[in-house]
Amino acid sequence: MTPSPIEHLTPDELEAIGAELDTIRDEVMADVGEQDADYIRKVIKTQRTLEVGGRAALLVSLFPPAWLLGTAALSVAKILENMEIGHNVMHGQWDWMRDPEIHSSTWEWDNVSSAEGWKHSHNFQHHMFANVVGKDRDLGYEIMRIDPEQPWHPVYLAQPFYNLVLAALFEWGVALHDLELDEARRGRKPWSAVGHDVKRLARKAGKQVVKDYLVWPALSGPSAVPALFGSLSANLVRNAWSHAIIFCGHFPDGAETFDYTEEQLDGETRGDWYVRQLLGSANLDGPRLFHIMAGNLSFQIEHHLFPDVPSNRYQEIAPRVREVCERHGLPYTSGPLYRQYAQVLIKIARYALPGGGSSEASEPGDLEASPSASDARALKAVAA
Amino acid sequence: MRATLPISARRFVAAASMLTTPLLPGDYLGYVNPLWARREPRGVVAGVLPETADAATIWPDLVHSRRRRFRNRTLNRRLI
Repeated sequence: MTPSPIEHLTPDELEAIGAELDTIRDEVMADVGEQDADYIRKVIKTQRTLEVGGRAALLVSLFPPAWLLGTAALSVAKILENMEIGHNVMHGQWDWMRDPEIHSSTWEWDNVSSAEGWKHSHNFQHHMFANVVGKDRDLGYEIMRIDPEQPWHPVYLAQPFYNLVLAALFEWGVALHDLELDEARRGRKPWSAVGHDVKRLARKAGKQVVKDYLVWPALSGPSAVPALFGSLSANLVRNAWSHAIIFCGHFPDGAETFDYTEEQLDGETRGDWYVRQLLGSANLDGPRLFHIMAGNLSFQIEHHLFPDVPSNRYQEIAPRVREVCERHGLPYTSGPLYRQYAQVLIKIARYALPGGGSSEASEPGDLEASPSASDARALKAVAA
Repeated sequence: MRATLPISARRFVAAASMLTTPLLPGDYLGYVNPLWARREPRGVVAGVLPETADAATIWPDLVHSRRRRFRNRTLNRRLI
């Protein structure tokens, strides 16, 4: 087993970290109110306006500028709906508003996977067991090897290629992932439950496909073909974008994985859990608009510490979380999208081949010895 | 809620929903006129009569809140 990256912390220190992070959460939640509600309502209104505008332009997309404008507007609408609205509403970040229309229990998103299936695999399995090898099914999504601890298999040789396919078809990949076929093969999920989930997926995906590729193009008359390509392109853009942002959340260099046993997981305290979430996540640097388009998952560290704190608040608590990390000698990984995504792609290429463990073995020790190393790296990248 | 609409209107809403799924047409129309949002009963408040320091009686404008579903329901929190 690799040495734990938290070995230099005493149980008392871990408890102190837990208490400090709890305080940050309590303070921000006590302050949440009307201005936050206005924010999410404004984002939703903007998204729906863009969607209507984009669809309207695609109705006359035989005219090339209309195609370009419509496709761009629909792409942005789908990205906002997926990232800043859908993902965060279904986390329960806006449940405190007690608005039955913006609530994790009622929200359904513009995505082929159903809200119900996604909430289970994402909110529970991924967030609870973030980056624990063998427990977090989002670690390589069961089809990719992105960590030396994962046993190698010849099929991984093809992963640099099928990663590209996954990027293009990401919403379908997520939907398949939610079916948990891997769990059923291992006997941990009954096949009858898989059958139920397949039916639910077929219902949801069917409506999405009919809307995007049938009804809207059919309404476009002579513009049917360009309208169809407009819908297709918007989904493609949204898929590639969400794939990039999501892969940068846990797979860049510096984001740790954990080879924990069941006992280690059971024995986790609040502080242990916080530190695991912290070490397993990586942030992205960028301007405010970039963060909104990323659904604030560019604050992946803050999101994993406080998954139900409204996303518009992550930016203001990030410096406080970073300060806690610095004080306790914990790495806080952050970098611009191009650099983080390059690291992810290199990793996918490297671990397509067997091995990779020995060169990585020095890294946890490295980080432990000088947590400022990763900060220095991040600072260098910001300067560059 | 939709049960109060005539059948032809119900068919129209169902067809329009194919264009707006997973949302309902009313989710968009509500931005044009809040009374057209159909997820929740909505109506126009005609008057507010303060009864005590922290309680008031409110009543709907029945001309503009024509829908039976609204009149038949107990007034709830989302009055416009």
